[in-house]
Amino acid sequence: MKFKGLSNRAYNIVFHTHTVTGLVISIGLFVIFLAGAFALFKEEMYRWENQDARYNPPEIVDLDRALSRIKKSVPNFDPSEPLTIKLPTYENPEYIFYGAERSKDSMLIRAVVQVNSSNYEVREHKDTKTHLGQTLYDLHFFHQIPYVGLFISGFLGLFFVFATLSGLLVHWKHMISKFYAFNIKSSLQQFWKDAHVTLSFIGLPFQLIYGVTGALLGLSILLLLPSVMILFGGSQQEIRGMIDPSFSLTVDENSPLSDNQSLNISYQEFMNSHEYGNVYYIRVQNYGHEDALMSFGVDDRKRMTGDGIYVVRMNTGEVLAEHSPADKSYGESVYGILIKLHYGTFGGLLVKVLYFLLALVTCFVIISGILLWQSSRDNKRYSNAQRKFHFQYTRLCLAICLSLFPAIGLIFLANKCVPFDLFHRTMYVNSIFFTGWLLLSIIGLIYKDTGTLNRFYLLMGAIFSFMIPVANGVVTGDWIWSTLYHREWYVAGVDIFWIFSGITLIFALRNKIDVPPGKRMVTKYL
Amino acid sequence: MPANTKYLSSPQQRFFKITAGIFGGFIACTALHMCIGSLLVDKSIIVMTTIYSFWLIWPGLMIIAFLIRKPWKTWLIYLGLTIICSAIVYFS
Repeated sequence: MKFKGLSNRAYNIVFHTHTVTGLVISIGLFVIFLAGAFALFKEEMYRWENQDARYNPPEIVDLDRALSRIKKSVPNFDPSEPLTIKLPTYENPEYIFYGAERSKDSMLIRAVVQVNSSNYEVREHKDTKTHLGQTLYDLHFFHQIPYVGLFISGFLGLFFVFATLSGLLVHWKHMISKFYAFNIKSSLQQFWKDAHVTLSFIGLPFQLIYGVTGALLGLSILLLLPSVMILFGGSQQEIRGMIDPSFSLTVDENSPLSDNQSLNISYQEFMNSHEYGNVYYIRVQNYGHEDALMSFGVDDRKRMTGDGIYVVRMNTGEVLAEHSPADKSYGESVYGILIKLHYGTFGGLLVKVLYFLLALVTCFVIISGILLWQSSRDNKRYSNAQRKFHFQYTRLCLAICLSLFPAIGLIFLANKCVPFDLFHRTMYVNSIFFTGWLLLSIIGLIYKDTGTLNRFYLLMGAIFSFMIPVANGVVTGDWIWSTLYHREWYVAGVDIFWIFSGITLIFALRNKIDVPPGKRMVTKYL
Repeated sequence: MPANTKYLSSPQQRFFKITAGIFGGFIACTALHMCIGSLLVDKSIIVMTTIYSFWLIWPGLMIIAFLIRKPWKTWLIYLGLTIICSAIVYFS
């Protein structure tokens, strides 16, 4: 089957825009994909990162006891304000209450409180002991950049869709005929080109999914603003109600008080009556009043439409609104599906592992694009000054991007090595991560040869990789044989991942590819 | 391998093409989706489709904007589309 490519003019224009877009978004996109790859396992890593969480969640969920302990520790906690409760799971056996407290002058302040589900000890989230998964998750959408971080990551997602579509158009003619083309004996430029094209074609669905869902999550306000203003005359309720039915019901803060309300009784009634999936979170509105509502967020983490929300009137147990996994409409399902596609919470752990591998492939696609660009302009058609600039930009991209993996190894190490009882230890761990990343980038820039730069980062990555399981064993006593014996699969899984990564990096270091001098990236222009 | 520069536009034209693609494309894409939405009875459904179709159609409009030779024609097309769609929204 012959594909007709674009006309000469169209081909060159789309090709040029693909190149420019790729160059602009590469560094940010690499950070997004690598941090995101690790953030996929944010919940699964929690038992590793926080050794106090290595216990089993209770058989019986006691929400009332957790709430009463919170009210003792956080005196101005106001449960009648909208309250979301994350229930304990095996991955993270703590309750987390996202609520509000009233300050002295009756202002509402957001209060996030963790409750240990075995001894019901309360800890405010700002005093949390570990922040590893959260830091990588935050880095994934640039949360560290105030106000605009999420927006920037959304735009990177949008232009990633642009780059993907334009790349597809450029490659259109040879999509089938050159599917297996991969040449390691020809020039360096040809190698990078084949690698870039082949892997990005294989990863095309994955990349489109993440371009679209990433743009949605970052730039949703660009959609909501016109839709709400034009189609709904300023009222957000209908759209929010489509996503979460608890937003389509109103509660009156002046409704009469109702004492003896029990979260546990409502929860038990609900668990006895519904069959789909596990409850992951509960949203309570107007607790303590007659018209109090409890919404149960269920998910079976297997099917694409396995999530649902049921809204229940606390006092009567009557289900007022629901998005049932069995019979949701199209409008009620779409948002949940896009979220599941993005977070990989369908199909179990295997999907997350495949997503992780594809994310690493995408990181390679990004790097190979830069190297392809540089090597294809490393000829006499360009002036020495231009070639020097290309090379400097390439070195900058490589230094920032390739240093992120060892930096992630460093944050895992810091998570264990910074003393657990140190006040504000999360600040030290995060500082070690970011300054470590900066230092590794700067040191990498010393190397004039990109091959040596790469090998430096492979070496640092390998060193940190092997140190991580050792640090876990030394600090927490949970050596890998102990965790495997005690069936702490997630803790062992993290250690095994880092051992595997160290071995892979050692093999990569040992197989030195000798690029003939004539084809090596030109360093004499520096 | 790099693009043949004879097909590419001058820096001034490039600026106008880029802005036409990004801003004009955004306005046209929004108008298109709102127009479809205003013709439906249950309007929240179109919003649920917009949340993924928008990010596919907008880059598509951006690519087209680069292919049109003169940026003023791009603005003409996109603003024209917007006006037609806005008229449909207004009258329904």
